[in-house]
Amino acid sequence: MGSGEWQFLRLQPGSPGGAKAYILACLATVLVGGLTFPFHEEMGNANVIMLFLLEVFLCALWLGQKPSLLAALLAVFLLDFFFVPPQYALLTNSLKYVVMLVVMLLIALLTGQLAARLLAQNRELQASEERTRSLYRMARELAGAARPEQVDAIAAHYPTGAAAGSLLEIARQRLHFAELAQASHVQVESERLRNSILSSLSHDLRTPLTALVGLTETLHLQGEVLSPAQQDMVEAVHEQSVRLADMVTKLLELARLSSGKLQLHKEWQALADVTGAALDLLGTALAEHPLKLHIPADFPLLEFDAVLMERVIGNLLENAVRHTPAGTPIHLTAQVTGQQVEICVCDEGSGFAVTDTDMKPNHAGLGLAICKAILQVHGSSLRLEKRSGGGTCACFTLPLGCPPVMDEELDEGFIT
Amino acid sequence: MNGNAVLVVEDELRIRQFLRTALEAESYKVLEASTVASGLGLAGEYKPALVILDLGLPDADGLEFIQILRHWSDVPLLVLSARHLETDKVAALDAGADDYLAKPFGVVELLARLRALRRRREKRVTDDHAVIRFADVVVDRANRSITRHGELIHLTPREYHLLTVLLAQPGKVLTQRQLLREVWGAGHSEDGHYLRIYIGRLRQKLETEPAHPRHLLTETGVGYRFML
Repeated sequence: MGSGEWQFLRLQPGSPGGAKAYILACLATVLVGGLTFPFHEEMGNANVIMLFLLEVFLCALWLGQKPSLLAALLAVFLLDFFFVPPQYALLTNSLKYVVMLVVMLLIALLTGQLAARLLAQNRELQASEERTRSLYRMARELAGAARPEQVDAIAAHYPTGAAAGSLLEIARQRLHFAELAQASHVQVESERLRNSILSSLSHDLRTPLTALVGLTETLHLQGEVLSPAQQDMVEAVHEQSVRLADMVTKLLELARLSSGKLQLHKEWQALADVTGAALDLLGTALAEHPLKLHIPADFPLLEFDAVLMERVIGNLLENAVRHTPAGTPIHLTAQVTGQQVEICVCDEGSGFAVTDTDMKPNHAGLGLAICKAILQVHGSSLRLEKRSGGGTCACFTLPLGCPPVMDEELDEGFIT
Repeated sequence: MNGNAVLVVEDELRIRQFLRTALEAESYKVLEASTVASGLGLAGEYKPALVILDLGLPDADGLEFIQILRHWSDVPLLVLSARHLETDKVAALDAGADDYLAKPFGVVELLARLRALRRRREKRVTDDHAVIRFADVVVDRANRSITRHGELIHLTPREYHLLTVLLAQPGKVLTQRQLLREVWGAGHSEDGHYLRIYIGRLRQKLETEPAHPRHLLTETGVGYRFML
């Protein structure tokens, strides 16, 4: 609060209040009167008035406006009664002294007023400084808070107010977003870990299978060095390793699909593109089953993940092949019904049991489980039903939606 | 160029073993490398006619091999990968690979792909026929005419453009982005639906069985390929 030498000239916000202040003011005035009275003849009354003014001013500074007013009135009374002629009487006949007394009263009033205002301003300033410091401390503590309970504990320690409220709100939001960021970070990390495990598992499983499939096929191709029985065995090993590789692929795919956070690459696709590719992939597996495709040439584009939808079609066709005797036809149909399209793979065999849709530890179950998982992420589902004329249909629907338009302005007429 | 040399860059000994046997049976001369660095060294030294590359090599990513090799060589390159994600295939093809096989693969299939790659290369070197025949279709690029069963087929300018881009590289997988850039321009490289609609139209006009095409083939999630 400044240097000590001029301390007494400072405002005293912590000065005594109430009756004590008035008594002190009176005592100070009486003291000044008592000390100056013996010498007032030599000093002259003007100087005595100066001393009284000083005393009143200090009273205003230290004791406040009202005690200083009392001091001023008392000083005027003392001056009038003891110092100003006629002594020991309240009335004065000299205009000089009347002016002197009135001016002194006015000065006392004004200084008291000024001092009081200063005091009030100072008090307000100190209070606001205290509030600011409290907010600053609170902000510092809040910055260190790591949990909502800590924020609540800090809030309880400090006075409430608009500024404190917004500080608390900011702290709570900070914690909230930190929590969200942490959660999403954990999720991203676990997703990344999962993908990298699946990826290295895929590599580690496929590499020996590739060698096995390739070695047996090569041996089989160079058949002349083997006896027919050995040829058969090599072919069987090859077949089994291809089957194993297929199963590993499907298992890994199912693992990827069931992680629940699959990234869909949805685009507007032509169904015929996907079915054609699925047929190519199946290759000779379909050779013994005449395939009837019923996809209209003007079939609309649909929004789906082409790679996954190719698996659905491929798995359904494979399933139909697996469960029907050679020579029976398989139908792949697609038609628009209202606001959606229905795609069905139907066979004419005895059909797989309709209850066989749950994931079971057999090959067909795996394929269908993959279909179900893929259709689920597309918001669709697989429906298996027995056909009245024998055979089974596996159907699913996809929404028609609004395919993007194509700008054909620059492609008119025929060049050939 | 080393007429019938094949460079096999693969870190798995057993896979190299059967590849060598199968390739030598086709009278190829086989060069083997198990790392990107040694593979690039052999490619520079012997200038093989074909390269078979495994994407997962111990010292560096196979994509790096493709990028560096393409600085000086356009040798036909077939990629093998145990990763089944289509983004990997697209990345390899966009980097300059010509074809792609996922592990495990059939040896017969591999040999057929290699023959197609070689045939295309030799054709490009020896002669440039304006006329291409597939199924009942004859495409005469000099006269810009297409006939099927002897009858004239009408194509729009873009249909024709797309067809010729595909015909120019038989057997090679062209990614969706490559085709869109070539036919529609860089501004349309994300408009996959354009391609699907036009491929569909070409199949309707040229394929015997449009729903089960034999020549304009889809590589799902990757792009398209023309097969002779």
